[in-house]
Amino acid sequence: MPQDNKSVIRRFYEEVINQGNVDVLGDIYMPDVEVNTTAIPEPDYPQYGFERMKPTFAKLHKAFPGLHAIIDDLVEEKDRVAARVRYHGHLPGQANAATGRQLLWTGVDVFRMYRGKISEHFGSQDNIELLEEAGVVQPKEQDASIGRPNRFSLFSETSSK
Amino acid sequence: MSLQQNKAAIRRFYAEVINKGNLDAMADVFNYDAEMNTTAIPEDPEPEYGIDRLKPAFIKMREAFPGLQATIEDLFGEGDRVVARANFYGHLPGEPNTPGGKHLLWTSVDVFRMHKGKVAEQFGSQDNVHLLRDNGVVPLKVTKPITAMGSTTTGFSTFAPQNPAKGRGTGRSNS
Repeated sequence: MPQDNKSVIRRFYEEVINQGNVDVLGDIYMPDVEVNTTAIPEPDYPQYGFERMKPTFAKLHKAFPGLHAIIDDLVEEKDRVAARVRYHGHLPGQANAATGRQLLWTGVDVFRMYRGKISEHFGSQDNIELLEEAGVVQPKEQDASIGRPNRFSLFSETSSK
Repeated sequence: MSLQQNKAAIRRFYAEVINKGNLDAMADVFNYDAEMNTTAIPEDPEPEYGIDRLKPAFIKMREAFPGLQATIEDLFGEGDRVVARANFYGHLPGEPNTPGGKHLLWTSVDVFRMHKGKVAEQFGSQDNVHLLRDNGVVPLKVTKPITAMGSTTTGFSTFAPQNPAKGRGTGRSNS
């Protein structure tokens, strides 16, 4: 019995992104998965195959200490699932939650599912938000240290835990 | 409203408001007090409320990027939500608006909450780094040349549209 699609996606964020457990990728991605993402610093997309994605997720988890994804919205129709996600983390080298600067950025991922696994993954991260928060580029007006709330105020979380 | 009707409103949003700049269509697509959250530059990072406040943003966007044309690459939904993945083609500010010279400017995924057949909230996630990199604003390592229209690798190549919209699918615009 294949896992239901939303559970697979929740597992992706919880285990791969939040826990950095890349060993479970084989349960979540198809062997020949196609991954397209705007995430930096990997401009060489699409990537194929979950084995090739393991180092990327390991690097991501390592680069942003305390990286934590919160699913704000999960939308499913047939073989598609979309996840609207908030990411929290710290600047590289600032793992101490008490003193390190919190980073907060958002993204939306679209997945095509096949037999209970991700067959294609299109990720759209707001990298400008990230670069602003990290101080790489200057925000136009607002103080970049101001954390942003989940701005879909009226959106109830449809089905995440 | 059915999911089909909600999707039709979103198709109309892209076809009329984004691609044609027809701001009169906004009242058909957005609730009067719609809330818009987008990572699009150069928008204010705070949410915008209401049709009247959204209109200047769309005017500005079309002015900034000559020949701007969005193609919906994926459209699906559940309950009161609709998700649209789109590619935006056109010219960078200052580039001549030549029909054959359009290239991929950025990609986006929008999540909409619908109410009575119109958009009540929009959350947009644009790939602004792609745009700024092409613009030379962010000096990131560029490993790919600017892709010509219709030959992008922006993904989901094997994605078949679930509900083929008129005029979509090839990644080419008609203008």
